[in-house]
Amino acid sequence: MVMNYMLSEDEKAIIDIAHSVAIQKIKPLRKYYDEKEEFPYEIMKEFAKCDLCGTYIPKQYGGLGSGIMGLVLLIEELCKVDGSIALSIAATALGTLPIILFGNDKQKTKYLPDIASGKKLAAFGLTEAEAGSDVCNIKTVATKTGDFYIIDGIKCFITNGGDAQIYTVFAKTNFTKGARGISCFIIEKGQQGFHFGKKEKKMGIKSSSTRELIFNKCKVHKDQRLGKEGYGLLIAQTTLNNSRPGVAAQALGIATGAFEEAIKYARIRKQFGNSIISFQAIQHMLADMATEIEAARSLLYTCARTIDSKIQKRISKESAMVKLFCSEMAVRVTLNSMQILGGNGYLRDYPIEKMFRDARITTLYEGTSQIQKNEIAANLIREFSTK
Amino acid sequence: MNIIVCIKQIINSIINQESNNKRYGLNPFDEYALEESLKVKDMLKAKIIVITMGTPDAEFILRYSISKGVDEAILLTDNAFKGSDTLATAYTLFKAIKLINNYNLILCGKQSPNGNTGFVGPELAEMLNIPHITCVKRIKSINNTVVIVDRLLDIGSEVLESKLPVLLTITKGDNISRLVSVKGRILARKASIKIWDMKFLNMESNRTGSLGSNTHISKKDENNKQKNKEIFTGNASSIAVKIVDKLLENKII
Ligand SMILES: Cc1cc2nc3c(=O)[nH]c(=O)nc-3n(C[C@H](O)[C@@H](O)[C@H](O)COP(=O)(O)OP(=O)(O)OC[C@H]3O[C@@H](n4cnc5c(N)ncnc54)[C@H](O)[C@@H]3O)c2cc1C
Ligand SMILES: Cc1cc2nc3c(=O)[nH]c(=O)nc-3n(C[C@H](O)[C@H](O)[C@H](O)COP(=O)(O)OP(=O)(O)OC[C@H]3O[C@@H](n4cnc5c(N)ncnc54)[C@H](O)[C@@H]3O)c2cc1C
Repeated sequence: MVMNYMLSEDEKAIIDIAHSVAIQKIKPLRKYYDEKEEFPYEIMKEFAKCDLCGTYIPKQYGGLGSGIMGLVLLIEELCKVDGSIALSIAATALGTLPIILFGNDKQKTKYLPDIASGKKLAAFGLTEAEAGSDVCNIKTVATKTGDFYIIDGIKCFITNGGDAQIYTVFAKTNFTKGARGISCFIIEKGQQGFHFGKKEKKMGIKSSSTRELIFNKCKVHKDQRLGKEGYGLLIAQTTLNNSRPGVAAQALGIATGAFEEAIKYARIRKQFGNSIISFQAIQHMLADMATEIEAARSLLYTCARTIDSKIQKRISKESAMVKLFCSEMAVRVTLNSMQILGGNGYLRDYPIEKMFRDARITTLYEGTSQIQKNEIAANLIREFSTK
Repeated sequence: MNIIVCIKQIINSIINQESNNKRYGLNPFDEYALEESLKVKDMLKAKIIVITMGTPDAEFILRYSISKGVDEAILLTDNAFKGSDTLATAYTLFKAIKLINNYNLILCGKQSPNGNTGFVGPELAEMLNIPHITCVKRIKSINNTVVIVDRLLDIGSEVLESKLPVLLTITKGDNISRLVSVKGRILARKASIKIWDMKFLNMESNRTGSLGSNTHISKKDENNKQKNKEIFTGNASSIAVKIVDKLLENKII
């Protein structure tokens, strides 16, 4: 039983509908998509029909207007069943947030309704071969010529790459200005000079596509630039502060799903004449898991609500804490669930090994756990220097 | 295109996926009828009205229908409707549909799992003086004047055509109920449900409820169910073997 978080009726509706899609449409196919490493287009259609693509998009642009909380509840619920398929929505949110947060009305009107209706997916293009944690080291360049920018460079590890239609891409507009030399652009699939590289083969989240974005003299109108020139890093950081709860929700959902499998199994598996749930060693593992899960959920929901309320100007510390705690927790919980299932936990006939593989990514992308700690510590140092 | 779908609340043998109400559910055949009406609405401009005669708590099957995409819902409820047989039920529905007046297509379930007569639809059509087709598994095509349907037979099916307005009773076909959307769910929660009683329907009390019923249940044999019951004991695998043996013995498998 989940604690009562005083959710609104609209929020409960999101959970309910997500639950029925997860159980009826995703569960029967999760193994198929994992093994085939296929992008789940059929399930995307179900998400669209059920209004699940734009929970976080403002109402005036066709979304449900439920904010980051609406995104978090959706991703958590879907990830209880499959931590990979829901990523297409979470990564779309990551690619869409720069438009919601920094787009002008014309850009929002052009892009948000199609994303909210599920007609188009989005992606976020920041990482490059030499710029992972060190984002300022990107080499992709946007050279201004009249009303246009010419973009050259290669992005790697881009979720939804190739399957999304709308990309928010970061490129250097000035190499001498360091952090102030980065700008953000909206680039559409099909634009001349924009191609995709190889699809990565991954340990988990296999139904999610991860590809390179290749820009070769890609000509983009200046109206496609988000915010002012040189504000790209701010856009990226603000976006990540808002999107990290989405990754945390993915982690929390996977952990909850694994925990439920573990406790169900512990009740029916008998050894030494008793259900293994009667052994204190198993009970304590379950108690630890349940406690960590609920702690993670409390922190996550509080952070999401705080972001939506806009009452707190800086949220980077809490957002990093949520991502750090939920993702590391999910790795522990999925591992312990595997332990409770014994040898069966290691078999592909049971869902736990996939849950572990899927959970593992959450400590890596949108900033590794080490980078989250750096962010938290930087905030702490700032806070305590003024005391 | 105006479509009326008659739906009925049943005490659950099959728990509907969406209802929070565990004891009651929507007649599964009405679920198919609802889906057929929504498929028509997907194809052309249509307004769907659902009506049910039942107790006030039948409201939830109406809200459920709205969450799927129905436009309007009417609950016929009155103490005087209690004890209606199929004739009285059909007459009450008839009076309501007369009030709505504007319709091209009426859909009913083929039958209901508790009453099981399959009478209500045809009776209603007779009262309205319109044609009816029973056991429809698919509306193949429809325009403002004509409908073409697949009708299920014991062996295979037949294709029938009818002028509108017509009443169809729907059975299982390619009409598995669609999932509810978030916007649908939110809309359903806020929707207002029309509540019509006997006075509103301008009905004579001797045409509805037990007074209006020609058939009455004189005796119920509940033991019927128990007759061939056999309880197997033992562990799961030995029970499984016994069940399979029994099924083989009775030539069920
Ligand atoms: C001999 C007999 C005596 C009965 N006596 C009583 C009695 O004394 N007291 C009592 O409470 N019930 C009684 N019933 C219950 C009877 O089932 C009706 O009340 C019932 O509403 C309609 O019958 P059905 O379930 O067979 O419907 P069917 O004709 O099998 O149902 C077909 C379709 O008709 C429509 N429909 C049926 N009922 C409704 C409804 N209420 N609102 C909207 N649409 C509807 C639905 O579309 C349904 O799918 C009796 C039934 C029989 C056969
Ligand atoms: C499946 C997948 C999907 C992805 N999706 C996207 C996407 O959609 N868009 C996008 O832009 N990117 C995406 N990424 C990229 C992801 O965000 C980066 O992989 C991540 O930020 C880490 O960068 P890196 O892989 O270059 O690791 P590195 O930065 O090389 O880090 C290697 C190790 O060094 C540690 N480290 C690095 N710097 C420090 C430091 N200062 N202090 C302490 N430790 C440090 C790291 O924690 C890590 O353990 C994705 C990656 C994967 C694997």
